[in-house]
Amino acid sequence: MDAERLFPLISRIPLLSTPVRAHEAEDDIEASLNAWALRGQLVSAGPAYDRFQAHRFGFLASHTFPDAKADDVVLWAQWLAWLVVLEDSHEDGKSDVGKRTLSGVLAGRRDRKGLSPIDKALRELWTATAPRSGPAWRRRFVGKLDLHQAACANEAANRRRGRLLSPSEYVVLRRGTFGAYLFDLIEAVLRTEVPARMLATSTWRTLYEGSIDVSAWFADIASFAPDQAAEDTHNMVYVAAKAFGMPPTAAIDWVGERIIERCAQMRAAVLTLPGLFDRCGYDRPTATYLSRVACTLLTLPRAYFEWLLTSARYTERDPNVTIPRQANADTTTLRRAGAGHEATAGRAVATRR
Amino acid sequence: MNDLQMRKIDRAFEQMDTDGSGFLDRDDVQALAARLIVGFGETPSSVKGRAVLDSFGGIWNTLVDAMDVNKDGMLSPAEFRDGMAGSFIDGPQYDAVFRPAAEAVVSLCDTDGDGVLRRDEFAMFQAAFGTSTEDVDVAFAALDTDHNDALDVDELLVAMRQYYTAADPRLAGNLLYGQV
Repeated sequence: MDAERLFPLISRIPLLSTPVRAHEAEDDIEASLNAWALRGQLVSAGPAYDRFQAHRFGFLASHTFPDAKADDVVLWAQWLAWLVVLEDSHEDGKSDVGKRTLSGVLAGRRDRKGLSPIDKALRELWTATAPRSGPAWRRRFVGKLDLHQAACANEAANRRRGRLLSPSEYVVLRRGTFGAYLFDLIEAVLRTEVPARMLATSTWRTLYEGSIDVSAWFADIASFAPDQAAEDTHNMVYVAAKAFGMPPTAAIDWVGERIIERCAQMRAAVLTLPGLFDRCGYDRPTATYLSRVACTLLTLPRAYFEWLLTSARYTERDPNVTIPRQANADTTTLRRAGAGHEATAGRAVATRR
Repeated sequence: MNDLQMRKIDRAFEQMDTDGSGFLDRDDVQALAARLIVGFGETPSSVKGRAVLDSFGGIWNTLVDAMDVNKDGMLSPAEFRDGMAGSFIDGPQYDAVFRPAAEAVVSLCDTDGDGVLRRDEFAMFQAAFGTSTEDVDVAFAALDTDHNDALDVDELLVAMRQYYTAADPRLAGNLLYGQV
């Protein structure tokens, strides 16, 4: 578990220095998500279910949307859990990644009886999500679903060929494999929609892509050791080490500097938002709700960091270890929790998000 | 509550009703906080941003606990007026609940931490509350008593208390958001 390496890094980023709040219904959100996954056979009862619960997808959703309606937070958590189950099916070799598009699944006429639990869940989630937004958002979101599939297929092809990406190639691919649509889903959770004009600005792209990049690079640092053990080259640390001939510790520092740089770009972008709202002629409700989406994009990297320290996705932990769940846990407390994981953990889990 | 206080509280309702629905809910209050945080380039996980979110949440919880008579998670203008009066004007909760929010907002606005707000910082604060340019000018002129083109943060905190609680029409704080 390399998440410990993130502590000195995050302390250097004032915008991410304070723990984000948890949703007051976090326990209910987690319970609802876990029951849904079991009911839909995304996970089977027994040890697999225990492990699914220990991933704590609801924790990440709760910390990303501490003020949203609980049902809406559950929806985001369901998409996150579905994504991870889908990715795990890729790694298990059970999926037909690259042979079909998810938009095809959504548009398909196959009877539900003929669908896998993953595809059934996809249709169910889409039925719950689509009515919340307009046609432009729906097209964008479905396009991002297909982007994720295509990126995963590219990654699989790179593995087969032993192809090593350059840092700039990796950054683009990683946005795809990380599940960018979860970041578009913020709008549906908050029941708003970013206008096309705003989406096209460099300011919004910086916020949106920056949120993905920082979260993904946090994950890469946290999962570097297991990725390396699995000889998976799709990790920013590995890519940097190879590109610049650096040892892993120096490469981790290099990725850390990129994270700091990206956060600075996000801050510069957010400072231009009020002026951009004025130039676009947005009324107060629009500007205010766009601010909420922007705030959530700014929240996600810190929420992700906290999830890295909590989720069994990144540590295989003793189920008896108690993880602090209070909203106000400060960084010191979280560090102790992380150290606790280190003390009680077995081998790190070779999976990444 | 006199007529001036009613007008000020009704204006506060309009400021907080960010989606213009005619009712206040938690989303409105958090959206206002988000607008402030974004305006000053902070984040929900920065010290200043988190303080604003926490304190706004405290105000909302206090109002709902006191006044959401039908328990629908929303406040009508009448419920808001009664809640503000019962909790913060006549009641004891201004210092415990409202003042921390005022301090968090002022700290957010004082970007360089020098204890004063420049005109552009004050205008950014007002933009989040939907104040017109004309009213921003009226407010700044009323509060900048020493005419040094800056507002002392302590004086601003006094003005906030006057706006949200005082009945005396002679106080400068009544003009915090322009003419009422």
